Amino acid sequence: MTGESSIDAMRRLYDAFAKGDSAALMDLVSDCTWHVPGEGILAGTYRGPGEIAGLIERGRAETGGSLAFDVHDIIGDADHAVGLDRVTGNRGGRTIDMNRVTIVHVLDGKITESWLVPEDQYAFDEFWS
Amino acid sequence: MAEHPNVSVVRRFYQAFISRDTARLAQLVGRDMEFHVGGRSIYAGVHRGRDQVLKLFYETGVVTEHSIRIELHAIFGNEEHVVGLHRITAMRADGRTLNQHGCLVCHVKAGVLTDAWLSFEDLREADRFWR
Repeated sequence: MTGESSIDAMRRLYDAFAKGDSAALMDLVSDCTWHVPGEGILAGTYRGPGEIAGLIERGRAETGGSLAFDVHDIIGDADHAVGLDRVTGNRGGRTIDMNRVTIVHVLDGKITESWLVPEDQYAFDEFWS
Repeated sequence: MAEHPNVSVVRRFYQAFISRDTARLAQLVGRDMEFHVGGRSIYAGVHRGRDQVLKLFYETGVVTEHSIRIELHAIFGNEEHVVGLHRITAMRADGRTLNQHGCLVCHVKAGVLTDAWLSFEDLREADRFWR
């Protein structure tokens, strides 16, 4: 029942994003459904690496590559990992600086589903409006 | 591998909440606990101190006519953090219903919860339910 493998997958996800290592990122989400909550331009459900790559690329383009995640802690069990992070970035004069909870399902070292929970959904949506 | 003792504390907290064991809840809520509720409802914000936290639980119980049901889906953690993933369902007398995933991120110290952050999968819907 150890969460080490789930935690490791989550850590690799954050690392791949931080380094812009899209090959590693796409490998981790090769069979994944990714949920973005709220009413912003990125809100919705993204299925598979193609759609998730599109989401990440759009997020990068919209923010001029300014999005950064400061990972506070990662915990997990055999099937789940939770990342506690702080996202910062700017987009057309708007800034975001917010704690988030990222919940993922992990199977065989891959992320199979992901849900984001921003600390303030309204401010999150305003940033992405 | 044995469960981390802090995880056991939060598991007992969930069990006490689910079984409405207020004496047990009072033992698990730290005297200076801060319970953070996300959103913009009348319950959103920080509830400071054991009395205020227990009052929050009592009042939300009353306005839902004690219909709150929590199903704990997973719970795990380490020395620093424990996270519970749950489903919450509840009803209001006027017909409003709540049926969502939620998560509770906790700090635990010396066998009691010292901080908790409660989040909802769909915050707008949760705010409409709790307003």
